Amino acid sequence: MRAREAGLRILGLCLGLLISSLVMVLTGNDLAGFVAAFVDGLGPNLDSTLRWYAPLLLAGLAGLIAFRDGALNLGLDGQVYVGGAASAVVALWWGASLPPALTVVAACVAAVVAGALVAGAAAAMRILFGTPEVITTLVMNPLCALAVTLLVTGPLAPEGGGGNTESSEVIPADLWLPPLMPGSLSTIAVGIALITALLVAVYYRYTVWGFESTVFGSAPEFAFAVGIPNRRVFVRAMLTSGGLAGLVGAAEVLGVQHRLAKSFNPGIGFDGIAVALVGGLTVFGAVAVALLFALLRQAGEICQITLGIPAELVDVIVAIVLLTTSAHVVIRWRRRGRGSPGPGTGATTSPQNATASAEPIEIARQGSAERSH
Amino acid sequence: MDLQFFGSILTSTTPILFAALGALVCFRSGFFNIAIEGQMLVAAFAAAAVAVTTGNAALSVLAGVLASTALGVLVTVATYWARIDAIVVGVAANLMAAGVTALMVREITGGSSSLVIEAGRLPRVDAAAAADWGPLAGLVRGQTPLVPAALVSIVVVWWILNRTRTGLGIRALGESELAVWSSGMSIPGIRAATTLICGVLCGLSGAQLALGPATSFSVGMTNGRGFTAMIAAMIGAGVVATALGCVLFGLVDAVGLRIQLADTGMPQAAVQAIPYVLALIVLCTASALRLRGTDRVRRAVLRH
Repeated sequence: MRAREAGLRILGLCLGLLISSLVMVLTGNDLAGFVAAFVDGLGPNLDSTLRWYAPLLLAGLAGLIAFRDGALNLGLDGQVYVGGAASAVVALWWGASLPPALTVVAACVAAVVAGALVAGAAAAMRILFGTPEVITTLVMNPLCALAVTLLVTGPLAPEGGGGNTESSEVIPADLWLPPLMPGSLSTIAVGIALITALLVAVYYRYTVWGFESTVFGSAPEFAFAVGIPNRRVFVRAMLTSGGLAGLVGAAEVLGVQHRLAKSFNPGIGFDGIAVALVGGLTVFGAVAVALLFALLRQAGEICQITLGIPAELVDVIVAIVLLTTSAHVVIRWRRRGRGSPGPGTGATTSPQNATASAEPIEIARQGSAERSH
Repeated sequence: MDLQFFGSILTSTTPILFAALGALVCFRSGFFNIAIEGQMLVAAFAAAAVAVTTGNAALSVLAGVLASTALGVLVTVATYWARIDAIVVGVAANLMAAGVTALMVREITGGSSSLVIEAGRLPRVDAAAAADWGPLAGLVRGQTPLVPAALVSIVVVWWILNRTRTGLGIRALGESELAVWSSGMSIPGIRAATTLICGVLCGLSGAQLALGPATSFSVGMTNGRGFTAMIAAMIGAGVVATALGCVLFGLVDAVGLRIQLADTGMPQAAVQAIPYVLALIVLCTASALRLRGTDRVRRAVLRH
């Protein structure tokens, strides 16, 4: 069953790439050149592939935790922004007064905390007011981007910028994340991302919390009925995914760009969600898909310069692949035949229950009343 | 507080109002469509592109409507035929909309990120024509025909939802899919109607964005406005609540514009953030009020 699922996913992936190539040919772009650049990403351009691999894998893990645990955190993008901003603030303001190694660690911790705080705010709204986190996190994305703009044009603006600056001052070189090799674009963030992936895998496989998360993610009412503290699991998921997204921001700012720029985040958060979903919400899937997307990103970057293909093409490819891999369900559904309209599938699973006027709740009310959380 | 200020409220309310009504129809049919943002963006781009090439405003609006409906059809098919989770589809559709529009703008302009419309703007009430309105001149000056259309669409959507068979189907579908199925109404038919209504409304919204006061398309120009519109649609279940929410957001937009023009020394980014903060506050208030009605046990079950 697992093998079949994985096979269908890979089939969907191939289909998506096929459609994407078709789109490229139809729009008159140089497909062969793009494919060559894609393949080069494993050879001569491995460095820039790894540069993208780290943020994509980290964001993918954040998305995986969120979606697997049933906490629909679509605000990863904003949390990346806030994380980057926090790390830049720590590095630029306290960088001079602390030892460099300590500052880097502090900056990363600040980034994690900042990302977690933003996600935590959405979680708090959900817990306190029942506001669906899908929409609150989505609205927080532009807010977080504006916060970065505010920082860059105000407190972090370089001297003599005149309030119309595009980025902060350059962070001192001893506070940069160490590169993998001297002069390379990729940093130790790759290692951090891989270790995090291992930790997440262990978390889901061997810990009680991970088990609780999985149960809550697949059936919140069942989880409640067997005594899993729903709220705690939900908050945990939001905080971890937000924190990881914040770390992505730190890796971008301290590792690659070395300054806080107005729109330094080219949508890594949504790419991360795509990585998690295309990978079937498994850690191994995320590790593999992040590599694919990293190859696409670096190919997009190179082709923008050499072939004049706009880099946004990669966004389109990601979206197409996301749709085709998720649509593997079609095959399963058609095989089962279609008797009833089957409420409870597709769109009827998630948050619109919280939005519709009537909430058709049929929980086992007896018994759960005694349990107070 | 002159009339011109109210005029600018109308201008900034219009795109949000169209999109929010579209979202409302989707939500009432039980479809949590987060692709509203993408639909607006695609419509804005299509309208701008057609305006640039043909210079015909009517054709441009039509193109916007068609583009938005096409994306809506894709989203609906992916959700209900391919049975992909609505949230996943929405994320993918928004990504695709952002990517495709940016891609095409760069292809058309040769690398620039915005498309300036010279001919083919929507006709606007100029100063001379506005003078005919006497005391209301400030209110109507510079408005496009889509502004009254938005006001009319409030009534139209209310009428469709509450006074037609299709509207009954839409509302029933949101309450219980099984009930609609057993009543013999065509579920795909209702979904198609929903998609069509939402597509047209989002298309008009995008057209107003691109051809209205801005008269240009820039990459990512919706900038979360679709989500604000969704929040307006989530305030209550009715058309009136949605419209009031939109007016509130329009008001804040207009005030923000005033603050920016008045040069109060407030950072621009802070002013731009106000609508989003307000949206969050409004949504939290609305859901908190709704939550008051549910009993404690149900509240303890955090469900989706």
